[in-house]
Amino acid sequence: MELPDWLSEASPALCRCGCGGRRKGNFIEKTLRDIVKIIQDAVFSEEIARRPGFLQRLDARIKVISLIYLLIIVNLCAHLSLLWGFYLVLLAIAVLSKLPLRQVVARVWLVIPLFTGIMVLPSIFNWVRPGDPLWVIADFPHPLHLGYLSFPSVLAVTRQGLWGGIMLISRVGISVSLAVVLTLSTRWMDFLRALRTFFVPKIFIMTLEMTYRYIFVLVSAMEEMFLARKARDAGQSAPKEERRFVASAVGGLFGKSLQMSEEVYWAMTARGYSGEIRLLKSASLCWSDVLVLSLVVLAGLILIVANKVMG
Amino acid sequence: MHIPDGYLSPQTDALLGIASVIAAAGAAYKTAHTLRAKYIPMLSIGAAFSFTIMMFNIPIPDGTTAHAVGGSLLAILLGPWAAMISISIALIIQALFFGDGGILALGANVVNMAVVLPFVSYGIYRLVAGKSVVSSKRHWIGAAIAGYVGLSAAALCAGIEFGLQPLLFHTANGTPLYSPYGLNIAVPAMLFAHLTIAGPVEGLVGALVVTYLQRTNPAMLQLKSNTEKSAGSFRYRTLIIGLLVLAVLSPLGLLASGTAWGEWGGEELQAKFGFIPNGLQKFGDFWHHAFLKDYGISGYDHTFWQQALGYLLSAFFGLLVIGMIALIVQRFLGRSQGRTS
Repeated sequence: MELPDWLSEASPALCRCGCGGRRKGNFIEKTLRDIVKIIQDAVFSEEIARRPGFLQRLDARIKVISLIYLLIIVNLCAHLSLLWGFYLVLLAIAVLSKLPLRQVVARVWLVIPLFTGIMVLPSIFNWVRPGDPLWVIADFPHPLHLGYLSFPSVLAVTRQGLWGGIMLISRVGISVSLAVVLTLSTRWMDFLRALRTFFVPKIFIMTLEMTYRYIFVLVSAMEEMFLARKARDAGQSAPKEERRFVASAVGGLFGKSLQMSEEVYWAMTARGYSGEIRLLKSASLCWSDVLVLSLVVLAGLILIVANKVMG
Repeated sequence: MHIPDGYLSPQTDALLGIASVIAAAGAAYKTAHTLRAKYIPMLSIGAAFSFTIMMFNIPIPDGTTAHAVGGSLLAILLGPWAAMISISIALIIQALFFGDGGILALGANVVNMAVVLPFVSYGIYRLVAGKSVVSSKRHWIGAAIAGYVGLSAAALCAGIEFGLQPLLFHTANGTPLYSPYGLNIAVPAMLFAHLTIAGPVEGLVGALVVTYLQRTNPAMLQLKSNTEKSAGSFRYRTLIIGLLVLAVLSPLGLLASGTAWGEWGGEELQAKFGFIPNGLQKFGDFWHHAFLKDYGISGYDHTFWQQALGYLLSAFFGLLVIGMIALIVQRFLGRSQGRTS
C-alpha cells in the first residue's frame, strides 16, 4: 500500500519543535514554556530554601531588613572596588549556604550585562554623552551634520561613559544577586510572615498570601487552555485568529477568576471568616540572628564610610 | 518596563516609594469603605489574574510575540483603585519572588505601572465610553485608546525617572552614577519603544478582550458601576484632596531630593529656625566636605545650571503629568457622582 501524497508532504504543523514552520516560534509553545518556567522556578527555590545552611537558618525578619539595608548601601556606593569587594563576600556566604552557584552567578551575569549593556552602550560614545576621549575611533575632517543634528568631528569612547557603563552594570548585577541570594534562601511564607512584623498592613499580607496561592491555580487553568488549543491546532492559523484566541483566553480567565473569588469568599465565610484578619505570631529572635544583624549593619556603615574616604 | 535596582538612585527610589505608599493608603482607605469582607478574596484573585495576564504571549505582525502589561484592562474591569492594588501586589510578587524588577525600585514601578497606568487608562476609557450602552462600539474603542495612552504615559514617567538620574547624580568628572541618559535621550527612547510596540499591543489586548466580553458576558463590563452604586456614598472630596496632596508632593519631593544637600544646609536652617540642630551640623559638615569634593569648585557653575534645569524640568513634567491624572480622575468622579446621587 502506498502512502497518499498529502501524508508525505512536509507540513509546517508537523515540525516537532511546535514552531508551526515559523522561525520565531509559536505563541502557544512560548506561553506553555513560560508557564512551566514559572512553576519550575517556584518549586526549585522552595526546595533550596528547605536545605540546611547558614542563610536558610537565619530568621526571615533579619533577612528582610538586611536585604533592604544592603540594597540601599550598594546603590549609594560609587566605587567599583567596594562594590566588587561586597559581591565577593556575598558570594562566599552563598557558597557557605550551599546555594546553587549556577543560579546565583550564571543567571545574573549572563543576563544583566546583555540587557543593561545594550541599553548603556550608546552612552559610552562622545556623540551621545560628551566627555573626555579615552579611545578615538574615527576622526572626520569636519563636524558632521545630519538633519538638524550635528556631531563633533571626533568619534571617541569617553572615560566617563565607559566607567559609568561599567558602574551601572556592576550595580544592577550586584543588586540583583543580593536579592536572588536572600530570596532563594527564604521560604515564601516565611518571607511574608517577616513582612508582617514590619510596616506592612495585615490586609496586604493576607492578600499577598492568597495571591501567591491563586497564581498557581490561575496559571494551571491557563496551561489547560493552551494545551487544549495545542491539541486542536493543526496547520497554521492566521495571526488575527491567534490574537482573538488570546483575547478570549484572557476574558475567559477573568470570568473564571471572578467566579472563583466569589466561591472562595463563600468558602471562607462558611469557615467563620468575618472580615477580621487573624495571623499566627512569629517566633522570637535568637542571639545569633541579632549578631548577624549587627554585623550587617556594621558592614554597611563601613562601606559607606570607605566610600566617603575614597572621595 | 520593570525597572531593576541600580538604574535609579536610592533617593529617587525613596521618594517614589513614599508616593506609592500614599497612593496605597488612599486605595486601602477607599476600598475599606466599600467592599469590606468580600474584598480580600476578590483582590487576591485579581492580583493573581494581573500576574497571569503578563504571561500571555500575543502574536504580533512580524511573526514574534509580545507581552501585555494588562494594567489598563484591569482598570477597565475592576476600576482604578482595585486595579492599583492588584497590580501593586503582582509587582511585589514579581520583584520578591521572580526577580522581575528591583526591590528598591518597587516604588518607582508601582508609581508607573500601578498608579499612572490604571488611572490614566480608566479616565480615558470612561471619557470615550461615556454613558453608552455596554454593546456600544465606544467601549472597545475606549479600551484600545486607554491601553495605548495609559501605557505610553507610564513609559513617559519611567523615561523622566531615568532622565533625571544623570542630571542629579554624577561624579566630579561627569561619570554618571546611575542611568546614564539625560531627559533628551531617555524620554524619547522610552516613548518610542512604547508608542510603536508595547502601547499598540496593550491597546489591542484591551480592545479584543472587551469585544469578547461584550459578545459573551456583557455583565462583566458593568461590575464596576454596580459596585460603585451599591457602595453608595463614597467621600470623593477626601480622595481628590489626597490626590492633590500627592500631586503637590511629588514634584516638591523631586526638588527636595535634588537640592537638599546643597541648598538646605546649616546656614539656611539657621536663617529659618535661628539655630542648627546638632546632628545636622555634624552630618552637614560631613556631607558638605564630600559635596565639594564630588562636584569640584571649578566646574560648579556649569553643573549648577544643569541641575537647576533638571529640577525645573522635573517639577514641570511631574506637575503636568500628575495634574493631568488628577484632572481626569476628578472629572470622571464628578460625573459618576452625578449619576449615583
